[in-house]
Amino acid sequence: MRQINQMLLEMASGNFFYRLERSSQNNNVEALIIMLNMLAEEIQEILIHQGYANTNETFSQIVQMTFLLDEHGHVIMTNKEACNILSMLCTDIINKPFETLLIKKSQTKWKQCWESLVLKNLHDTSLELIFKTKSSLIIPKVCHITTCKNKKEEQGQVIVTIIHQSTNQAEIEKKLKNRITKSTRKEPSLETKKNTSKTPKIRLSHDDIRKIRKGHDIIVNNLDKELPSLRDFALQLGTNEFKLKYGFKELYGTTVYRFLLLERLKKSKMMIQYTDLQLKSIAHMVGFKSFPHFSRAFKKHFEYTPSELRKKALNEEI
Amino acid sequence: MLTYFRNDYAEYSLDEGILYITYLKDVSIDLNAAIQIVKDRLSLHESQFLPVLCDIRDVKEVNKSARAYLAIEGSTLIKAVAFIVEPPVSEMLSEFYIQTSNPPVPTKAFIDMEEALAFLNSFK
Repeated sequence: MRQINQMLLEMASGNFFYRLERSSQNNNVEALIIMLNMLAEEIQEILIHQGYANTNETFSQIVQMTFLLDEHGHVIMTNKEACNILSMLCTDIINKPFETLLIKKSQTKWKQCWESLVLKNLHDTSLELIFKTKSSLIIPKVCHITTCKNKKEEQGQVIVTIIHQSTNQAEIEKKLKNRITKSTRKEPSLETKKNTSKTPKIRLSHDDIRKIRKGHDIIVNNLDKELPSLRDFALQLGTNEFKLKYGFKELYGTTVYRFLLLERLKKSKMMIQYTDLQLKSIAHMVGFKSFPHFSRAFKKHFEYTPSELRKKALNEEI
Repeated sequence: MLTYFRNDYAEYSLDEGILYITYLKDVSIDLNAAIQIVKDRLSLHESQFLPVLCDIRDVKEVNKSARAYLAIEGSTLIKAVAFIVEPPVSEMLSEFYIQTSNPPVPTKAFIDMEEALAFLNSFK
């Protein structure tokens, strides 16, 4: 219960990367824990996604924790943020074996990785490890592990870096600010087109968002059917073409047609790889009218043709 | 014809046109696990669309990327999914998954096996 409180407190302060450890019991507390973990995952994703959809640039990543290890796998140096996140004192971490920071399951994984690292001179790898904080919250993270060599020293050292996609409040604020300044910059062109005074940036109501989400679900559920024109599709959803176009891009970071194409290609890829249905009928099943058209689009996106993929899948090369 | 299969995460069996998947005790499913699970499932399908009964009572956790993969790529060649759950943990898990990951095939959770089979039989 104490851990759940701790997790909720962290979430309230905007830290969505903590998780609670699950046991195999089936009771209400465990149900609450699994919900809380998944909720934190979803919120974390939304925050990153928002950053992505707003600026349409790659999202910023900040180094969260860094550890410098000696040849025995003991921590020599670490950064302040790592101490904060793990809620430990610097002295608790330094000179301790790195694996003491991990949960049991990750410890074995780390040891295996370490053994293979020791054999190699210079090496880069990444590994998903789960950290445990002092208050027993857990943090699953992909770590980047680099071995470095110094000319003077015979023994190599290892740097473990943990990158976090920014959920930092300040970072989000910055993006939001960016977005606002960007959209104000865009406004003049809109105004000249419409010749109206100060049209504010279009605002999507909750209702609009619900409608666009519904549109998204309709597309995913009807990949085999032809999509009506955007105008008709918008009408069917109870919104207008402009809002649909704008809102879809805002919500999913891509256009309606591009999204449809990608989903169709994704589905076709699964079918090619794991079934023996004719490529032509797969093309038809995912809504392409002609096979050459499908094949071209497929090649353009994946950089290999459907038949190449089928051939490889049949030979069990992939 | 292959009618039984087992990997590190689940047991699969095909019986009277329904594919049964029983997840093993305490499995944690991440993206790599999800890809393997879907791949092995499809090897039993022999290119046919099938209704699937999925016993998730023993699943420990499924992370976000795995949930997304199971919902989209994982619905390939599926007519409908019935989850067998046991309150509260796996029931919550299925509810969360159905609500947020929005799988594109009919998906419902059941406590009772008979009811689940009745649901799936309507899709045969």
